[in-house]
Amino acid sequence: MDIKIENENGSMVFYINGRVDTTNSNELENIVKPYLEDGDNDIIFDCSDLTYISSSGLRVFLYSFKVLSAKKRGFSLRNVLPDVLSVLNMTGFSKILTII
Amino acid sequence: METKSYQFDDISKIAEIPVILENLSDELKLSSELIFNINLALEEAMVNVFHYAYPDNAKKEVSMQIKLHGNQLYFILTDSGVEFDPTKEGDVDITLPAEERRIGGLGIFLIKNIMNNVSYQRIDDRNILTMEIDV
Repeated sequence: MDIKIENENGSMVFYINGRVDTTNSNELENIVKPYLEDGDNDIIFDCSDLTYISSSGLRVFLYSFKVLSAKKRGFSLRNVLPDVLSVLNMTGFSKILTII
Repeated sequence: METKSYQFDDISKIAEIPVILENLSDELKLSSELIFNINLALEEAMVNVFHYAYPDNAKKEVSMQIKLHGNQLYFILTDSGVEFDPTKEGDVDITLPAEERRIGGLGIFLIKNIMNNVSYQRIDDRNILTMEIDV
């Protein structure tokens, strides 16, 4: 997994490249956490190159959403690939999270 | 297809699952969607064992057998941890709002959704989880 972060018109965009599983979801959480705790930007996870996710990765998505919505900051996923989208649908996460 | 056997002695070894499934796919011509889903179910099942079946400092081990009968693929996970039947876990409520959603229990929920059949046996102090999927 590689993460690239860009400020796009005031939103922080995290480009998540590769697989997010039990072995590296903590790494994703540690990278995102400072941006959740500080700042007032909306956050977007760009999933164009996110090829796999398990429940440990979904946990980071849900955690990010909860922290940001408590602060009235936006959180969305974009360019989600079909296989990942099907996991979001299966788990009901697609009804909770904003997918653009 | 001949029965295949694998050993996993650490949670980090789940990184081998994609390679195992890639080889299986070469042999059986499985779709990438099916491979993705099987990978997810296997990871969730193994994570349950590594996180919950063994005491912290115990040697942890899971073995996996893959068998094909007709058009059914069987994934059989065996561990010698404490008795635990994941098929008895209650389903998570996926309709709850975010604030009430918990991540616990999502693993077995995914396994049951992906696999066509999931069964559990306790034999000779071992947990045996058998997952079947149509291919």
